[in-house]
Amino acid sequence: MSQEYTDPYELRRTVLVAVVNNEADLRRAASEGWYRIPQRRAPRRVGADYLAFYQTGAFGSRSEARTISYYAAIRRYQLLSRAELLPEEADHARADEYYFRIEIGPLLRLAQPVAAATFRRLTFMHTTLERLLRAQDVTELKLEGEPFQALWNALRANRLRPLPNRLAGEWPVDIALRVRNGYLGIRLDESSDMREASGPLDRWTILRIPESRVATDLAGCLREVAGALVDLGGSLDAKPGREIVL
Amino acid sequence: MSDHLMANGTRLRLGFPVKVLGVSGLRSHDSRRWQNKPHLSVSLVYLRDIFLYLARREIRFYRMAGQLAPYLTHPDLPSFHNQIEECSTELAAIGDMARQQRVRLTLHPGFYVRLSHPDPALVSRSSLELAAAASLLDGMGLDASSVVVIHVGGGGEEAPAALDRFARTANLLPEHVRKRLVLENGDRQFGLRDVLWAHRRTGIPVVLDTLHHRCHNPDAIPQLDALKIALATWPGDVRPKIHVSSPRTAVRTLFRDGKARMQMPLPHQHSDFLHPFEVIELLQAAVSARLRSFDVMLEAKAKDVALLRLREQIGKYAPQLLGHVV
Repeated sequence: MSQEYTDPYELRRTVLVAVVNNEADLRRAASEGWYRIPQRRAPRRVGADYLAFYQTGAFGSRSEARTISYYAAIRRYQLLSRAELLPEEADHARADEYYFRIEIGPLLRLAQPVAAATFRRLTFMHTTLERLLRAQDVTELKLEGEPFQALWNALRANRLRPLPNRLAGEWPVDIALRVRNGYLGIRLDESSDMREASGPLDRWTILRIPESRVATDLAGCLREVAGALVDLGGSLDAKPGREIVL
Repeated sequence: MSDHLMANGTRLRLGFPVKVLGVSGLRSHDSRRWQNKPHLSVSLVYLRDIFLYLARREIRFYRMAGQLAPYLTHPDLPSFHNQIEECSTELAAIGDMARQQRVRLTLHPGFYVRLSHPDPALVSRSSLELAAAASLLDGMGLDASSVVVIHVGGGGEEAPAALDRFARTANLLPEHVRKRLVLENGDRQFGLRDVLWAHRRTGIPVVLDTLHHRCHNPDAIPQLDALKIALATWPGDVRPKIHVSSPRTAVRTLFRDGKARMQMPLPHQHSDFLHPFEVIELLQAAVSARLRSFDVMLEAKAKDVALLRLREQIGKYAPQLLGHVV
């Protein structure tokens, strides 16, 4: 199953790392050639040349647990309701929700599985085939200059529970945090006076953080998030113990 | 000047074509060769990822890749011909997303679309290509502002004959295709007067390309007048668009057969970034003249990066325009 790639063009191909937390999904990917991602919770980038699978601790004592051991070429995408995707589970509570059905080629086994020694909880990750084939730990997969990931990790390190890719009215926010009576939405973009002012959104308070600032002043960004959380009555998900220091 | 600018309602949206250069890894379409079975569904997922980027940058005008549906009309590859039907749900979803984000989408098929060519086979192929482009936009459920930009084309002979053939062929196109078309003035042939002639015979609105107009303006029509003339060709309920670019001014080093060769800049070549003062002058003139709102497709090699830089420059050098430009 293992396969070495030496073609430099191939190495520049992109990879979406998905999190698999049950055996049935991986078995389906191997035998039926597809994997699903809920449209509502899909990462900012779904498009990629390859799909890699991070197998969580749910795979127990198997050697692949907490590693990326398999990947496959992406062939097509489809948007289907859960009921269309899994007709045997038509009564499911989310039967009407839409999913990306990602059609993939045969699973390939990495010659060197990528372990998650320091990370225990991963979200979707975008990387390159070159990094996937050479990495020893998932931390090496991260692409430089990903402010989203940096802020996300920092919020989690501060015991907050960020939610990715939510819609605040008509506009997507990059990160959402639950607060009393609503959400704090964080948009990572370069703010500018030329923006159209967006109207008040029910239950949403929007905080804009320039992407460039995440790289240069992460602590300041966290203080700004913390200040907004205090104003809004605190995060409903913050665990006691370690809080963001204002 | 400032009060006058702010008092009127001219709004100008800036857009960019196809490639995203501001972040790495965002693809505009599935560019795999036919042997690897590329598919529209993959392009649409790439497009979805681009939309999220556009939302972050608050860019509301974007030209999609001409090859969004790979090999869709290739005569020798029939297995690719049903991609639009196969992706009806995905097309509708991406159209919904564009509407939610209020992004105007357009298409600009390749140079091989030539409705005026003397070769009937080439004309037939061009018509097929345009029908496919219109079907894509229809499949997304996009309104009449999502247009397909074409050139007169021609086959190297006299312009009047080519123009006449263009008008006759365009008028034979199905209504749902023809109503999507807009016609751009050329940089060597088919200037503003010619495309206006075609407009009068076909009803196809005119997209003014300001650089083309500077390169080929045999009637010496001033730019602002040209802009007014072009905008007037659009229906009242469809927001017009124009193309703006700056000519390359730097020397280029070309490598051919292992040898380096210096190439002097040619006026019709696009530069990496826009000349800020020229663009500001044009936008200010449009606002001062209280022209109807229109969209500006920035054809610069630095794509979205050029757009973002121009925004900054407008803020710095012409802050009075800020209320008018998005």
